[in-house]
Order: sequence, then C-alpha cells, then structure tokens
Amino acid sequence: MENELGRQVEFLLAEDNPGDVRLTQEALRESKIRNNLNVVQDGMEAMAFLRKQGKYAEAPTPDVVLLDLNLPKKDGREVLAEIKSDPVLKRIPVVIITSSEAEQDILRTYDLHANCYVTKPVDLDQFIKVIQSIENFWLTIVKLPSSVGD
Amino acid sequence: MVNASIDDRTLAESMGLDAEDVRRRKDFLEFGAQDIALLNDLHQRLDLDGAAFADAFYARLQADAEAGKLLQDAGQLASLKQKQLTYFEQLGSGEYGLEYALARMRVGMAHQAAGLKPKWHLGDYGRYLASILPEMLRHCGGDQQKLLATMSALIKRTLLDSQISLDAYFQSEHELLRLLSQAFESNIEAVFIADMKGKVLHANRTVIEICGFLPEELAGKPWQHLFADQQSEALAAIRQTVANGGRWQGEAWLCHKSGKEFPAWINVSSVKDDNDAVTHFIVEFSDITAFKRTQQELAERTEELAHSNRELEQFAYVASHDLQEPLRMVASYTQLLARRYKDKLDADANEFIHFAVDGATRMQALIIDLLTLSRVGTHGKPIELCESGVALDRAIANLRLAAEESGAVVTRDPMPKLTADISQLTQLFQNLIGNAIKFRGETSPVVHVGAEKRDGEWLLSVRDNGIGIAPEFFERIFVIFQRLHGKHEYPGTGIGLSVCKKIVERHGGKIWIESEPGKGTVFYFTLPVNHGERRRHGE
Repeated sequence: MENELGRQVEFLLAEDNPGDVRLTQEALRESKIRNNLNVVQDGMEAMAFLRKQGKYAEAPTPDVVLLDLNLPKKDGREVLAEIKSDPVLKRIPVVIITSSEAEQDILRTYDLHANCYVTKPVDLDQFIKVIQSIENFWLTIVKLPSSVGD
Repeated sequence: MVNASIDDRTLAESMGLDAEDVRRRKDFLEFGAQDIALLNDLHQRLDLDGAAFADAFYARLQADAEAGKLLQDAGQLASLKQKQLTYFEQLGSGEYGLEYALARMRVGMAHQAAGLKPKWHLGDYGRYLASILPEMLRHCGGDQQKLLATMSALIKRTLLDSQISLDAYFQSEHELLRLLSQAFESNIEAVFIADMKGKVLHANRTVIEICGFLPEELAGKPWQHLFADQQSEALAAIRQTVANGGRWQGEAWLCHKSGKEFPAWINVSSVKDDNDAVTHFIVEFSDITAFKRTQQELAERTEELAHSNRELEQFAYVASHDLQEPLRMVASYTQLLARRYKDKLDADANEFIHFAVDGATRMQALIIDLLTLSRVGTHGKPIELCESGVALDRAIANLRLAAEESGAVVTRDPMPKLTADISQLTQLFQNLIGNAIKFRGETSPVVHVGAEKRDGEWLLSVRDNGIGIAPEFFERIFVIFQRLHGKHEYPGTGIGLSVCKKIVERHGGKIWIESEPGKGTVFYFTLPVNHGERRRHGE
C-alpha cells in the first residue's frame, strides 16, 4: 500500500535487545505499508542518527521514532528530552516502548511529552497489532506536521 | 514521713537492758534496799491513783502550745497513758527490777515515737516531784534523818527513772537512724545529700561504686563535679529546681573519677526545714549505660529491619520487572514459530506451542500482579484528603466490561471524604468489587459499598451475594498466592487480596471478612480519619 508521502515510511528503532529488534522486523514485514526499519542499539547512536552525524551523515530523517526506555549509554528518557528540546527534531513523533506500566508512571513524573506510550506485550499477535496501530497513528495524526511544512 | 519505731525487745537488747544491767545501774547509784523501803513507805502514805496521775501528767503536756501539738491523736494518747499506768503500777510494786525498768523504757520509747522531747516529759516529771514534796514533809514529821534519807531515795529513783527513760529515748532515735542510714547506704540507686553551698555532706556506697571516688574524696566536694559537662542544661535545670525547692528528674552525663563519662537517670529533691526554707537537696541517680545500649541496639535493629524490608520490596519490584523481558521473548517467539510453521508441523506441535504460550501468559499475569503488590509499598502516592466516591467511580468504570457481562449492580452509601492515596483506594475498591463479580453465584451480582463513621476511623464495606467463603479460609485468602479454587473454575493469580491488605495496612487500617458459603461475603476495612502523611512512599 502506498502512503501519502509517496515513498516508504522510515522508522527509527532504538532498541538494544536483538529479540525485540527481530520481532519488530517481523511485525513490519507483515505490514501493508512499505517501510524501512533503521535500528540503533543505544541512546548516543539514536541521537547521532537523528542529527545525521558521523556514519549517519546519509541517514534518512525518520518519520517515526520507536524508542525503548532502557537503553545503554543514554537512556530513552534523555533521548526523548533531547528530541523534544531540539527545534528541528521535536516534530518527529516519538513512541515510547516500555516493559511495564510502572515505567510509564516514572516517565510521566519527569513531565516529558512523548507522543505515545506502548507497553511491550507478551503476545505476538498483540505486538503485531501494536506495530500496525503505530502505522495507523502515523498515517492519520502524524501527517499533520509534514502537511504544514509543504 | 511515717515514723516507724522498733519493737521493745529489740530496743532493750540494743540498750543492753537486762536484770544484770538494772542491778548495775542501781549499784552505781547506790540505790539499795533501804531506799526502796523508804519509797514504798512514802507511796503508801501518798496512796496515788495511777490513772489520775497519768491524766494529770498528759493534761499538763497538752496545755503546752508546742507539746500539745504532738498529742492530738486520741489513740496515741490512750496508748501513752496505758504505758504510763503500767510503769506506775511497777512503782507501787516496790521491786525496781527488770519489769520496772522495761516499763520505764517503754514510756521513753513512746515519748520518742510521739516526738515528745525530754524538755517536756522531764519537765512534767519535775512538776510531779514538786507536787509530792509537801506530803513527804508531813510524812516525815520532824524526823530530819528520815526526811534526808527519803529525799535521797527519791532523787536516786528519779535519776534511775530518767536515765532509763533517756537511754530509751535516744536509743530509739539511734535505732531508727541506723535503719534509715542502712536504707540510704544499701540503696541500689546512688544517693547523695548536699547543702545549699553545694557541698556533698553524705554519699552512699553506690555513688562511690558508680563514680569511683573514695568517701573522703567525695566529702565536701562540690556536687556538680560529678557532672561531665559543667555547662549542661540539666545542671542548670537542677540548680533552678533546688533554688525553688522543687523536684527534677531527667537524663544527664556524669563523670567517673577516671574521666570516663556515662549517661545517668537523675532524681533531685529538696529538703526543707520547719519554716519551709530549703536547707539541703538530695540527688539520686543510676547508670543507664546498659539501658541506653539496649535502646540503641533496638533502634538499629528496627532500622535494619525497615531497610531489609525496603530492599525486599525493591527486590520484588526489580525481579518482577526484569523477569518480564525474557518471558516476552519466550512467548513471542513461540508464537512466531506457530505463525510461520503452523501447517508444516503436526497437531502435537500445535498443542505444545499452545501450552508454552499459555504458560508464558499466566506467568506474565503473575508478574504484573507481583509488581502491583510491591508497588503498594515502594511507589505509593501521598495520603491526603480525597473523595472516596471518586475512587469508587473510577473502580466501577475500570470494571465496566465485567459488570456488563455479568449484569452486576453496584449500589453505595453516601461516600465520605477520606485521607487516602486515591489511586490505591481505587485499586482497593476495584479488587474487592472485581472479586464480588468474579465469585458470583447463580444470580446476577448485587454489590453494595457501605461507609460508616466510627471512633476516629471510617468503616467501609463491600457486600455481595456471591458464593461466599467458609470461615476456615478467612485468614488464608489474604496471603499471597493463596487460591481456593482451581484455575479452570476461577482464573486468577491469588494476589488481589494481598494487594488489598497491603493497601489498607499502608493507610494504618485493618481488613477482614465476614462470610458464609452460599450466602455472600462482606469485606470490611477501616481507614483512620486523620492518617495524615506519616507513611509516604520511601519512609
């Protein structure tokens, strides 16, 4: 299925657990939307990717960031804070992926505004649904900033 | 003060008053048979009435402003007169032996016990003697020899009387003093007496034991030298108390002769004279080092326990949190296997995968519940004034699906404002009402939430018409992982009521159950009206 951008959707997944990376890849493989999954393993890499620094000079600007909360070097909370305080990056929708609702509570106490929270489900079908819902989310609500930019 | 007196046998013994002693007293006075014969002769002539004599004797003492004050107790007066009478009868018997001496001694003792000093009772004796002199003169007629001899016998008898009486008087005082000083000396508490200049007049053995000073080192030493800190507040407070003639008690650090300091519990009281002026003060103290150590150990152990409790809660939280990660991998990849290879594997494989996924799902439910339980203690929100009705609304909203499915009706009393962590109160209602819906009977669940104000607390209740619980399980259901039904009958992890109990206890309340199988269940819990914010998270 072609989306409104007329190109494939670029995802950036910041996740250090290879099992979760693979699951996300599998879920997106079943997606109806043409997409490309970029993966970084830690928070520093994530920021380098977003700012197109070093080896990421040629990296695409992601349409959605999927951000795990527990990342090495720079955790998801810090990454989120940096994205949201960067005038260029702050319009990129960020989906926080947490292992438990407890983590969401912790994050909320820091008053950082992620666009969406998703709890990692134990069930594969659920996980696929989550990924698909992220796509839908992106296709409907998240298109607003880019249309403003046109 | 109760003026305790010793018994007459003890006194006679301590005076050494026996037949031999009486003989020696008489010999030394040269009070002999001739004197006794003359006195007996005189007594016959006088023909005195003992009772009248005793009445007159004490009437004169009573008439005195000062002595009269000491003779106001009728019982005591009667006893004095009785002793005086007995003594008088001994005089009449004319033997002047041990019985006479003992009777005389008892009079002396009684005078001492009454506080009648020699100036009064000997004064009275003098007047008695003067009163019989004219009769004695008549008795002797013109016989100067007889008059002289009778006079001499009377004087000797009077002196014999007086010495026994005075010995008894002072020996009684001495004995009492000995008892008191023994009590003072052997007191398990350290006691010292100081004068208003601050000099230690007397210190008991315990002071010397506790502080390490020799008696002579302590005598005349300023009392405050026993204190470790001369500027301490306790010392200032004691000085103030002594100046005001009051009492003080408290803790202070004292100093051993070696320089070693120790904590003491101290009692200070003032000694006043008859005019209410403070003349001395008494300081009692005991070494409370051991007590302090125990107290300290107790506090440390309590802290250790609280610490290990916090760690345990933290451990449960972290463990259950981190367990989710590998579990998710197991479940997700088993499912991925199923998805990809469903048609390529046989029926057995499908069943195996089903059990693997089911196990992982149930384990996740357990972990989530465990997390919830550990979060009650570690991640509670402030306990503050809130509307319990709002918490109840939220709980019912969260249960909407289950309530609709079962056709449950939830009614309520007017709900009060409470001091509580509102999200935990919501959880509490949700678990209890959820329980009521889950364990429903044949008919649709009818749940009533009650609220009633009692002494300093709110009593809340959740009543249902469900299957009920037998009394032997009343305690057990609140224990973690305790389930009464098979998983196929009623699913669940057995943590819900443990969470309820923990929430109620965090709020300083209690939770219990009343139920009968087949007749429904009532869960009761109390929440203190003013819990305040004493137990916020992390404390």
